[in-house]
Amino acid sequence: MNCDKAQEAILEFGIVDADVSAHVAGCETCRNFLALQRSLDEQLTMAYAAPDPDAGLRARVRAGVLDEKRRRFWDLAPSFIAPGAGLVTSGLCALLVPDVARLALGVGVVLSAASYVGQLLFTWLTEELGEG
Amino acid sequence: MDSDVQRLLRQGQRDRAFEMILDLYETKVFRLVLSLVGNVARAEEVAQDSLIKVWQALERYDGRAALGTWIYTIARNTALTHLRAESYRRTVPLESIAEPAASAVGREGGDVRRLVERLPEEQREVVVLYYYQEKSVEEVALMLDLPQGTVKSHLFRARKMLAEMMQGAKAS
Repeated sequence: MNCDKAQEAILEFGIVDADVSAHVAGCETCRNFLALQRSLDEQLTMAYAAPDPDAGLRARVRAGVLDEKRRRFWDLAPSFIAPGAGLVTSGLCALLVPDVARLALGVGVVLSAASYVGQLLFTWLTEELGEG
Repeated sequence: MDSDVQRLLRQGQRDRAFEMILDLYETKVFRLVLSLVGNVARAEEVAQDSLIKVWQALERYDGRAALGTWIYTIARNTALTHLRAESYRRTVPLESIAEPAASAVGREGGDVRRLVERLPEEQREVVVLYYYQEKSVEEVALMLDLPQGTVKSHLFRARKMLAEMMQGAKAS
């Protein structure tokens, strides 16, 4: 084994097999090279000791996720307010005017559903136009 | 463990899946981000943003990419966005923002850090992550989305260059 091969093996694997060992034993240049690599490895291990994140990171991530959940809820809430109010009003009408309860409920449900679909369409259209 | 996360996601248990992701990846994401932004306080901030983005995107995760690869991609992109925003604010080139990546924590080993900072960017990133990840070539390859052979070759060249720089420093 020559010096180039020995140094390549030291660089590549960081460990020394029997062949490299035999070469290093009789070659001062490669002995120095190996010592230098070992010293470099030690210094790098010390300089870049695996850092751990702050103990509060997880709590902050959880808080951020909670904020995100709240934001999503309030983003979605308006979509349900109009149809929800329509259904509640229909229910009240049915209770207050029992003679036309079926009609009031039927019309209320249809109008609420229509308003919800209309709202979805409106949102989709505005987003499409916005992107265009 | 990744398969447990995927099972929980299939069962619609996103919060439990996310807790498992935090157990598995919080530290790794932090180290990856630290290797890119080079500052502990900023790395905490970017790691936090990255993990919240992981939660946001979790419902769209379809399991086609390995979970780790998917998470590291989000973290890397988040870090790069932060670096770009920072460089825009300072109106200095991105390269000079990324430069202190190797001088992350503490002062010990300052000499070797200075040498590492002189390595080409891709080698420096691999060297820093290799030691941050307790010398796992596999993990570094996953984090940087590189083949393991490429990581080994960057390490090889970096070691060679560092040895030359050290010998040069000793000689002068």
